[in-house]
Amino acid sequence: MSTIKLETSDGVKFTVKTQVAKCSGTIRTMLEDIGINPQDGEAIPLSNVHSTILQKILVWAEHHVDDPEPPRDDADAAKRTDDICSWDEDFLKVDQRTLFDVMLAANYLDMKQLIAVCCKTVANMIKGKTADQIRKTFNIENDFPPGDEDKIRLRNQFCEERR
Amino acid sequence: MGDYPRSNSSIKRLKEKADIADFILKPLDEDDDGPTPSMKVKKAIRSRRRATRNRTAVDLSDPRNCFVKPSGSLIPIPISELKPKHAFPKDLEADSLLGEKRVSIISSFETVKWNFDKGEPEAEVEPPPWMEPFSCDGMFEARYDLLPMELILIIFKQITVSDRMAAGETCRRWMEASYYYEPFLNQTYYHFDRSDCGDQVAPFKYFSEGFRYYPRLVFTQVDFNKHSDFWFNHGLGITELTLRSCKIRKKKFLSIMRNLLNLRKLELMQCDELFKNWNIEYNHQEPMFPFFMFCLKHLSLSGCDYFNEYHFERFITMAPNLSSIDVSNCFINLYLSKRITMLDRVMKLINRNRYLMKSLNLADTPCVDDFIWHCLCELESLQLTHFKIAYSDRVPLKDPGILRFFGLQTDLTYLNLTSSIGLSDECLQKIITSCPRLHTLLIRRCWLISDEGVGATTLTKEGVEIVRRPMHTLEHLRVLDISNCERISDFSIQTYIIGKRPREMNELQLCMLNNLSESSIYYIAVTFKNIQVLNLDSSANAITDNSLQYIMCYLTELRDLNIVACTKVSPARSRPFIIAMITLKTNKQINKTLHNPRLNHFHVAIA
Repeated sequence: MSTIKLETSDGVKFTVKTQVAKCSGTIRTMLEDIGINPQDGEAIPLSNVHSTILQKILVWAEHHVDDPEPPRDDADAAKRTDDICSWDEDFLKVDQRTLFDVMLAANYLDMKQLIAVCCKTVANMIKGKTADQIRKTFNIENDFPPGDEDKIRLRNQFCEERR
Repeated sequence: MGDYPRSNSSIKRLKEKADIADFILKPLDEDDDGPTPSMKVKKAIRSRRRATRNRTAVDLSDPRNCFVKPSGSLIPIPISELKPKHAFPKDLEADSLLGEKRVSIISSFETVKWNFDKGEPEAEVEPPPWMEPFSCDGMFEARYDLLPMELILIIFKQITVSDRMAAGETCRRWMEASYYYEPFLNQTYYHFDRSDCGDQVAPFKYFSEGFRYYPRLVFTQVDFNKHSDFWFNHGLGITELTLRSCKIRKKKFLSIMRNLLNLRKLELMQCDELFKNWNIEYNHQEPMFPFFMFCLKHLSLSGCDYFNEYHFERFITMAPNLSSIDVSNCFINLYLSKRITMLDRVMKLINRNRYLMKSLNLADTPCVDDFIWHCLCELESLQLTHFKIAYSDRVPLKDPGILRFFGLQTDLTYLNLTSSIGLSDECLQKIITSCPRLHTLLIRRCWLISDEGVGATTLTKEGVEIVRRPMHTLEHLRVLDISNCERISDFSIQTYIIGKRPREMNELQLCMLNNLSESSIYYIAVTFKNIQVLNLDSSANAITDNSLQYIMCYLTELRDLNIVACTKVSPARSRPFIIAMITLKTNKQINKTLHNPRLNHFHVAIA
C-alpha cells in the first residue's frame, strides 16, 4: 500500500494511504495530472488546511474510502436532506467553528461527498428557523444598513412559491 | 503653552529621538486659526494635558508621555476616539476632528494606534475582503455569512423557499444568494393581492426603489389607478405578468406594456374592465398596440368575456412570436355566431404561428366539435406538446376528427382532457399508441372510458382476439388522473394501468373509484415506489387497515396522501398510524421512528 505525505498550514506532516488521499479531488489532480511523485518523500503542501481539521477529514475519508462514485446529482436528489447516514451524523456533531472549517477545507480539497454532507447538515440547521434564530445559530452579523432589513422582510412577504 | 513639551528644544530632541525628517509640522496651538475642534476631542486633549502637567520631568523617549504619530503631529488621541476600523487617509479621524489639515507622506500609510496602557504600538491592518474568514491570528473564524458562494448555493438548494427567504434576511451575502441565483428566482413569484400599487403606498414603494429585479409578478384584484415608476424602472426585468380580476383601463395598460419589452408570458384573467371600455372602430387601421412585443411567447385571455375579434386580432399582431395561447373559459357569454367568429380567429392565429405553436388551451370553450378537430388536423406542421381541451360531443362514426388529430400530434407530453364526456375507448387507444412521449395524462370525469380504452384484450363474436395496447406501455408517464372513470374495472387498473414492471410515477389521482380494491393499492405500493402524491379521496373500498400499512411501508417518498371519506379504515387498528402522522405534522422529532418522514400533507376524516 503506497503512502504519501501531506503537510498542513501549521507544518504538521501526515502520512496517508494514497487511496485515502485520492478522496480529495485536489490531491488526485496533483498526483495524476501534474505528476507529483509521492515516492520522493516530499510532502504535498496544503496551505489552507490546519492540522486539526485535516485529521478530522482523514478520519472521514478513511471511513468512506470504499464508497461508490456518487450518481450525477439531479434536481430532486438535491432536495433531500434526511439521507445523511448515521456515521456522518455523529461525525458532524461538532461545534459551528469546526463544521465551518471542515466545510471550507473540503471545498479546498474538492471532496464532493463531504461537502454535500456538510451542506445538508447546515441546511437542516436552517430549516424552520426565523431570520433572527438563524443569525444566532451561525453567529451571523447583520450587515444591512438600518431600515433595509424591514424593507426586505416586507418585500419577502409578497414572495410565493411557484407550482 | 509651556505646560506641554513642545518648545523648540523639545522638538529638536524629538527629532533626534524619533528620527523623523524635517517635515515635522508645527505644534498644535490652543488658539489655532483652523476650524473649531469638536468639544469631545478638546476635552480629551485637556485632560491629557492636565495629566502631563503634573509630571515634573518629561522623558520624551517614552512613547507613553509623548504621543508621536508617524505623521509627526504631537496630538494625544484618546484610544476611545479612534475608530476600530482602518480609516483611509482622506478622513483621518484625528486630523479632521482637530480641524487642522496636515499633509504628510506618512499620513498616507496605515494608521498606527498607540496603546498607552501597554506601551507598545499596535498596527491596525484590515484584512482584505477575500481573506476575511481568517482572523488576525491566522486561525479560521466561523463566518458563515462569508462562505464561498458555491457552498451557500448548495445549502440553499436543499431548503424550501420560505426557509430560504428567512435565511436571506440575515445578511447581505445570503440575501444575494437567495435573490440573484436564477433557479431560485424561477421557483418564486411576487403576488400582490388586493394591495394598492402606487409609488407612495408602503409595500409597493419598496419594490419601486433599489436595484433588484422581479421577473414574475401576479396581481389579484388590484386597482391600477395610481402612477408608478416601478414599470419604468423594473420593466425590462419582468418576464411574466399575470393580472387576475384587476381593474385596469386601456391607457394604463398600454403605458405599462410599453416598458415590458422582455415579457414572455402575459396572462389576463377575468379582466373585463379592460375590454369593456376599449372601443375600436371597425375600419380603424391604427393598431391597438403602437409597438411590438417580440419576446411574448405565451398569451392567456382565460375567462375574459368582453373582448371581440378586433381586440384579439390586434393583440396577436402585437405578439408575432406567440407559441402558446390560452382561451379557456372564453366566449361563454357570446352569441353563437360570435363564438364561431372568435374560434375562427383563434384558428387563424394557430395557422399563422403553426411552426411555433407548442401549447394550446381550449378548456371549457364552447363549440368545440368535430369540425374544430378537423380544422386542427388541416394545419400542416403543427406539432403541439401541451394540449388542453374539453370535448363533450359524441365521436361521430364516420371519419372522426379526434382520431385523426391524435394520429398526427405525436409530440404531446401534456394532455388534459378533463371532463371530456365524449372521449371514447377508441380515442384513448389512439392516444396511447401514437403519443409515446406523454408525461401527463389527465382524463378525470371521462365517463365513457372503459376497460377497452386502457388496453383490455377482448374477443369478438367470432372468437377473434383483439389485442390493444395497455396504458402502462407509456414509458414517460409520470402524472395520471383517472378519477371518476367508474367504468374501468379493478382488474384493468391492476393489469393495464399499473402493470407489473416497477417504474417511476410522481402523481396518481384515483378519486371516486368504487371499483378500486385493496389489492390494487398493494400493486401501486410495489410498482411505483417513488410516488409523491396519492389521492384516494372517496375510493372507499381501496383503503383498509392493511392497504394503509402497505402505503406507509413501501411509499417512502410520499408527500401528499388523501384518504378523505375512506370509511373502511377502522379507527381501532389504524389509530397509531394516523396519530403518528398527525403528530408528524406538528412535531419533527418523530421523523426517525416513522417509515415516512416526508409526508407533509395528510388529509383524513375519521371520527
